[in-house]
Amino acid sequence: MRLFIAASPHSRNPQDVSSIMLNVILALVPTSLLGVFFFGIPALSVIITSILSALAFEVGVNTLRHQKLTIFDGSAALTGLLLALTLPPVIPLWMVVLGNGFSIVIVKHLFGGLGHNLFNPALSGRLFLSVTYPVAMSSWSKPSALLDPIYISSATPFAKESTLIVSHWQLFWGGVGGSIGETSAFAILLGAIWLFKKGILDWKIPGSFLSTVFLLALLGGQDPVLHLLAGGTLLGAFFMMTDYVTSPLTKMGRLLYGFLLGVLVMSVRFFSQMPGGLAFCIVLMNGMVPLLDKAGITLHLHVYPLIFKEIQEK
Amino acid sequence: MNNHKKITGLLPTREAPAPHELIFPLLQHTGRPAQPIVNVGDLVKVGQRIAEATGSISANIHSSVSGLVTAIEPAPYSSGVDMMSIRIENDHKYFKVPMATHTRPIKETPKEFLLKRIEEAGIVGLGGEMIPTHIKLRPPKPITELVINGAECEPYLSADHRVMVEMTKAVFIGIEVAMCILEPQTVMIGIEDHMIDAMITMRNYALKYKNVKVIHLPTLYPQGAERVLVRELTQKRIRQLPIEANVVVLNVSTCAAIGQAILNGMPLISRVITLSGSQLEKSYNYRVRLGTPIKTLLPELSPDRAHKLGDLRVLMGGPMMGIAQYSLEVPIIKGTTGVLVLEHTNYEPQKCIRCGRCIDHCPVFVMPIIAAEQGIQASECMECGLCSYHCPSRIPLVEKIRLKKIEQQMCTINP
Repeated sequence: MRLFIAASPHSRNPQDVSSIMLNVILALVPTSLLGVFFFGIPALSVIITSILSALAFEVGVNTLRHQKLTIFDGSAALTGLLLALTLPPVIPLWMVVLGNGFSIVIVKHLFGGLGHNLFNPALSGRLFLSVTYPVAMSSWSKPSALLDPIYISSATPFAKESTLIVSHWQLFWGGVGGSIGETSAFAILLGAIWLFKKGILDWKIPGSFLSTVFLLALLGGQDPVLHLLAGGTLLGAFFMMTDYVTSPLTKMGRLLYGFLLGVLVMSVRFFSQMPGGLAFCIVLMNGMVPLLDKAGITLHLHVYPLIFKEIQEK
Repeated sequence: MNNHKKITGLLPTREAPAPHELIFPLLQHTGRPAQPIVNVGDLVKVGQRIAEATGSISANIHSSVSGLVTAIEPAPYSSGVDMMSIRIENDHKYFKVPMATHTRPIKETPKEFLLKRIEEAGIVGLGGEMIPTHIKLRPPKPITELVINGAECEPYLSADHRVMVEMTKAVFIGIEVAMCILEPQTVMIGIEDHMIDAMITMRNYALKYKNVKVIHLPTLYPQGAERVLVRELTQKRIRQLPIEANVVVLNVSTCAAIGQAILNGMPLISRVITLSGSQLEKSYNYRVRLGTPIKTLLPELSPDRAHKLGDLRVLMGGPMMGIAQYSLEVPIIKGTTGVLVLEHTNYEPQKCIRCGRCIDHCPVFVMPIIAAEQGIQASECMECGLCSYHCPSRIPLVEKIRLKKIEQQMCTINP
């Protein structure tokens, strides 16, 4: 028997970084499964390639930086999975590997690794690919073309030439053209509910973002439900914006972040027709996070005292 | 958070085994250490004063056994450094000094008499903060609310729970005394809702008094922290001490001690503590004589039986705010709420992933990670430990904030 001394508290919440990452990966399983169901084997191979290459790059960087292996905290696998879900199912696999290389090596580790990256690695990887290979990144395969991908440009509901008329119901259950992870709102919501129950997802960012999008669509005279369900809005709201490292720290900062993102996304959707606009908006706002943190701290210091009766100080 | 209370909350309090040697540290309260008034070789009796308050904030200390003073020397102490203490050898005869009982109704007793009794009995806050009660009962300004803390929010601990069930009368005498001295407009007793039996007993008893309300609170750490309790019950926000908002907070165990001091003239020589933890086979609530070394209470940890056990943390207090002990010689003092034996786990801190959980969970609206890095609001932190508990990166936030506090104090003293 040995007696140890340490500072209080003496017990810890069993949920640590790796279990959080694992839970987020679990929450993405329904989305990935539906993606594979609708887009077939190509989607599966994109997902597997993406996760494996992300892990490989992580090991490589760890070796170069003389670090302990960090693949077991799950963050690299999560980045790989998230990147795969934002890609079109018929993309060449070497591009997937390249995108992961950009995500892990440049965006994550050159900024200092998990906890220090300014931009969301998965989304930055996706943007890198869509800037470098715009054609491959916008050749969407027709969904439910199981095992037989046909290169028909059946664009996402927001693309300009889209003559596609999709019902809300189809958007909700899935089966619309787009990237692997954004077909089914239902699967994303399922994952989001799981994360809420586990206390990992905070309602503030998705809440303020989605309500802003809804209200602005209503004001702009467009279909608000379409704006919520289509174009990866939900995947972005629940899994991309809420990435801990690249979102503001304080409660007030998070509310502000969601609101500003809503305004940004809707102005892109109203005034330009850029595909993948959401990803650009999120990465742009990631750059604003240090500023929002400062604002959030000031707000936290001055707004909370108003809620409770302030004691006159002598 | 699992509160582990079912282990001991429903068991009746037992008498703790009496040790052969007791240690009475001269600092069992906030303020200046008491001055010993016995010499080595003196014979003392149960309830005899052995050290006297010095300075403006201090408290008397009484012997809890009869026997021989063997030494006055530095001895192990719960804060982690040795403290000047009086060692007394127990003769197991328990001769008592005469104690004056009190039969007059409390309302007709002069305030000064009651205060003097409390001061003589050496009563301090038994919830762990150890502020001498007679200081608290002489507030610098009039009091509007008296808050009685029966929340006992720390996991594992159930000593206050048992005091409320078993010593209800003494608790209410204590509350009556405090009411008589402070003359508050309302008295609120806050009890966490898992202690159903305590709630029923206290509610029934409170019917006899006007202005005394028993309020049930959700079971949520840190409900029993002064600032959180006052905010929940009176909607007033305080920064440091409840007196800022014309509130005085007393623990239920303190009230019971006041009740006993007034009724039986008994000084503070024993208290109820919880003995629990994942590494103990059996858990109890014990009534312990102050000065009992913890090794007497933990036969499982004696050298002949301890080899089966691995790495341990022996805590005084709860798992969230308690202090890990370096020796089993350390005695029970007035502020000890429990002794816990837990497994030792080493947590490897990682980089902050900016999840913001520390900010979401802070009960007093500090931003712990900001306070730990930049010192903003560090002085408002009450070190409840929730931020460190919830941090997925295992950053020792409370420890860092403590350092910031010290840094800031040094800067104000020596600019």
